[in-house]
Amino acid sequence: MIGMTMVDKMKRTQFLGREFLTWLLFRAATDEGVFRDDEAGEVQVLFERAITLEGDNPAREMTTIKVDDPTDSAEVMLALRIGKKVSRAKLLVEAGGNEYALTLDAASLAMKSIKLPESMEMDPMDVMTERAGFAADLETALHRLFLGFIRLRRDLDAWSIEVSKMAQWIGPFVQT
Amino acid sequence: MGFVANTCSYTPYQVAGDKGPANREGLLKGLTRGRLTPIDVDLGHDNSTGFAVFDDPLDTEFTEEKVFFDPLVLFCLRIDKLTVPPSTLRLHVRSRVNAVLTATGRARMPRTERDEIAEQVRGELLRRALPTISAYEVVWDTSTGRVRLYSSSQTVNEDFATRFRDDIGVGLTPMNTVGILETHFKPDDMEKVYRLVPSTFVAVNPGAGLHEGDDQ
Repeated sequence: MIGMTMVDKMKRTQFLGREFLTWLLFRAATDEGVFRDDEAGEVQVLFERAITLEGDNPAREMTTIKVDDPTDSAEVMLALRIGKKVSRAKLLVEAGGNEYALTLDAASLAMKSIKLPESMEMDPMDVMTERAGFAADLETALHRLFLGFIRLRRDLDAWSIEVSKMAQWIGPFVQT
Repeated sequence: MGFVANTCSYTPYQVAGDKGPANREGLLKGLTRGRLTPIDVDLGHDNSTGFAVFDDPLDTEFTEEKVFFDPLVLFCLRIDKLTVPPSTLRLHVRSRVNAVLTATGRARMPRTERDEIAEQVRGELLRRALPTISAYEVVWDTSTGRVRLYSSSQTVNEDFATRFRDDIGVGLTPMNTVGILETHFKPDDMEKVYRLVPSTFVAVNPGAGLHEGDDQ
């Protein structure tokens, strides 16, 4: 793998972003999306309104579903049953006592339409410093979740058990 | 969709080396080196990109008071673009072509001559046009070494990272999937990540293996 360009690396890891978001959806549906980390404390991830799922060929197999609760949607489950994975989702993240809304793109883990907590500061400079801190906290929470997922993903036995649980949750494959 | 807007989109980067600029004077020099310069239409350019002041993107004179707000370093990436609407260009070219044909007593004009006239007219119109200005805020948090560019455009981000490295002299690692992994995992561990293959979450054949494989 030595000598890979950034583009090669991004291509090789794109599927991990989709698996990560699909795993987050599974955890949100079955475990209320609560993740505990000794260092970072508790982080909760909830799925909101819009979710996009893609098959192996995104150009032909992309579905965007708008429902109040994607974790409790027959349409979302059907998309998963035909083998699609989550490629973009609107998330609500609770970390460090604060609430953040954002859209997370699986391909690069790009964050868009981010809504940070309201600032209580009055001075514009203090507001900016506080917002930088909120942004850092959000990034830390999401990066920790992703790194935790990758550690699980690299553990063959643990991942095998997790995949079995996810398969049980999703249900049998549906032929289209 | 900027830094202080209610809803924003940004791309985070981690700086290589020290969390903040090595010295303030050096950063100001870098910003000045990479500041936006006017579009030079005579050189065939129709756009210009460079750094500008955070508070006032029309200002490209950097001073400590305008840039350093401890622990934040604030400036913006400004992109100016000159455009001539195609329909406007078409009308002006047609007018000029007709004038040349009348002056030379010809009925038709070769394609190459028409193209030359079109290019000349475009240049003239560009000189009269006002640029469209886009300013993307840059927030460098020197307490964490994190730089945030308030744009999710790939082109803008690539240009920004190149200018940051070349003009300010600091390398940036985009905190995307690869950046997050590479800043936390050792090269040997990354090799294992790159060798992972996709899993299947749905039981195609219940009772059979549920995933295609894993670490080689």
